[in-house]
Amino acid sequence: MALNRNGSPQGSVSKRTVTAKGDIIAATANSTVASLPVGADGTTLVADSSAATGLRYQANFAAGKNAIINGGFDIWQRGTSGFTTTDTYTADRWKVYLGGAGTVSQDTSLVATGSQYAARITSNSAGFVGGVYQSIETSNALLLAGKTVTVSVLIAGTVGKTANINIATSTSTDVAPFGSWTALLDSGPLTVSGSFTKFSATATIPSSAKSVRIGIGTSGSLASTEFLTFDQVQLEIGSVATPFSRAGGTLQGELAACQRYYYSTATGSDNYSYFGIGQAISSSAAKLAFPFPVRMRISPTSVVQTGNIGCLNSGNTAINNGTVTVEWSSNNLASLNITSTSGLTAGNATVVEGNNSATASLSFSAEL
Amino acid sequence: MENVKFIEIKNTLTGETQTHAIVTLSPDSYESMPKAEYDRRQAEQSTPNLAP
Repeated sequence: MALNRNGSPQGSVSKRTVTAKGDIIAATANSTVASLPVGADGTTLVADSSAATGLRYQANFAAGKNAIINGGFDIWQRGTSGFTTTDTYTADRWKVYLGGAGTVSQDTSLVATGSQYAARITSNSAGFVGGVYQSIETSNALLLAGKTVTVSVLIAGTVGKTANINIATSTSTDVAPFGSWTALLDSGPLTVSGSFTKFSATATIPSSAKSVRIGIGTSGSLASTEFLTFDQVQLEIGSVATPFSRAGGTLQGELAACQRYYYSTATGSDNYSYFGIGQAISSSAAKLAFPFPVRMRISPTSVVQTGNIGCLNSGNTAINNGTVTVEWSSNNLASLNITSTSGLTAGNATVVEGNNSATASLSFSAEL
Repeated sequence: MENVKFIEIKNTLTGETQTHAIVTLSPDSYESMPKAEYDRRQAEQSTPNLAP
């Protein structure tokens, strides 16, 4: 066997090629090798023909790694401000707890790089505490059971104030955000500044867990006008916080993910937005089959009507206001009754539409 | 106290009458649901269970 001068077989690769933990040996050309230094924690090795070794580490932006829907606070179907009541949904999938007078609103002035919006919780009273919470439905939470997970979030706010990351679990199915939970982890005080800082917390989800909830909120209390702003919340398997990506991968994917839990027709571009073509069943009532854009988690049992909605009368001369109720529903559509209207002819088709109402909308919830 | 009224709607196909609760959310908005759902929600109202 022919040997090199150092005594190793000719053609072999010296172990001195690599110098640090995680380095790998890669070819740069025919019979030529080099060391590829290990990438940063959580990065992914990809092929790249422009790199000397044909390989490169890059941040992991894989869709679906984030178990938090609307972690970037992109979707606000319920409105963007004025959330002053505790135990109500704000940005899609996020429910607010307000301990004292406070409010949640969409933040457009203080947003993280790569985001268009964030969520701000503002104190309107002394000694205020609060936060936003999201529970993960069982079919998704089961994927986390027994796994080490990491929550990461960008937080900014009133300088020197403190925030907290909470992880809670339950052995029950599809627990609502303010149902019965067992606390798994509280990060403790995370001191914020006027610009975003990325904080993270890691814990192991019990193997018996069927529901998982994440909470981001105050640690200490806030005085009036003090605030915290949250953005790019992510829950992923592993012990490393990787760069944020939407659960749905794209904005339209994120919207669809949100609409599994809640759907609201956008307010129309005019005051007579159409909701569909129904059928009059009497002079004062009509039915409307109302399909949802996304198959919802469960069949919605209620409908929220905002603004004036009515039926176009048989003479095509007036829209008479009605009351909208759910006759029955499935995950895919609701059969709506429009009652207490007038001017209809049983058996005729009728347009169900806003009646000179800029705010006319219908909303359906399939939330936890 | 929330502003709620109840209305009865007859299903012209089956002849059954269903009672719906109409809960006023704001001057411009209300939520309607079968009375059974309204009763269920009333029974479930509880104190939020939040970690500090």
